Amino acid sequence: MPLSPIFEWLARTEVATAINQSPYLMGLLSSVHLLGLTLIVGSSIVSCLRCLGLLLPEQPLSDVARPVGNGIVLGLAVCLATGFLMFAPRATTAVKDSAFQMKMILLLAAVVFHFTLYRYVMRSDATRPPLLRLTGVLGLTLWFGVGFAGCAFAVFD
Amino acid sequence: MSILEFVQWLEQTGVGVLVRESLWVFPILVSIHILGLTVSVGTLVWFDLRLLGVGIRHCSVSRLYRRLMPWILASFFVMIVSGGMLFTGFATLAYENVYFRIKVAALVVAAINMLIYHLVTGRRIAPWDETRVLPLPARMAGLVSIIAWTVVILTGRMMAYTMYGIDS
Repeated sequence: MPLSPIFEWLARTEVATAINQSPYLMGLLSSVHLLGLTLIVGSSIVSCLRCLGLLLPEQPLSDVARPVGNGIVLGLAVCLATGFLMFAPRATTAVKDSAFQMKMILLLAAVVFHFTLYRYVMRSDATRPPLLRLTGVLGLTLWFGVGFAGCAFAVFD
Repeated sequence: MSILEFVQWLEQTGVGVLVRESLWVFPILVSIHILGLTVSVGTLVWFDLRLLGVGIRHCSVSRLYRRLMPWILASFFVMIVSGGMLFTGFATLAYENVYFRIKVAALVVAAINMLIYHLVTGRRIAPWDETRVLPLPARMAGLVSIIAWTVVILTGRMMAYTMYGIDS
């Protein structure tokens, strides 16, 4: 892989070795990573269930979607920062792990979905029900997929 | 029976042995427990934020409570059952772990806080149900809940990294 010298360098950096040697640092990063994921999944559930008409159907979509969308972006920022720091010490082994690869593919798909279809649908109160349902199902599937692949990577690694 | 004897007995039950010895049960339970947590706490936080006057504030407090509760309670149930099973497998190690003790304390705080809101504060909801800025007891309920659950998540992760011995 042409990127492997970068991963090897990353794993040797001072920050990466410090993280690798301290279970407390690793635990702290993992905790904050999970806090970020909680914000993403919770926000995604509230907005996607609203799209599916299963939660707060009497409330205009934009009332729910605007604050909740900010929750997803904030959670994503927290997860990316802490995730990168946990990735650094085991970069060379993680990139070869199938659960990790799956997580990254799903994450990329979820981020693209969030900044395209999700944003487009949440901006208007006049979206037709089929598109709303598609957005709800896609959002739940993608973010749960990221969380599930993350668990699989964490417990089997 | 002392607490130590009780946790040692728990580990010897069928569930305890299964969780410890099966190759698949432990990782599956951990995944269910963590995803259940993200659903329940991640959803609850939007109610807590509403009590603090932010987030989904165009919705009345009582309606948000009514609509979110079934989802929160269902995922709480999943989290408690999977967490209870995980505890059974490693009860002694958990009992001796300082982060686990803080986690239990934070869970008790969260539960009492929820009960006070449900039985006292939430009963006098009529005058402020639709308003953005809520009276102090309601705001406190939201703040205490967010802090307590954050501590639960932090200590829960920390115990996973410290429980099985730093060398392993």
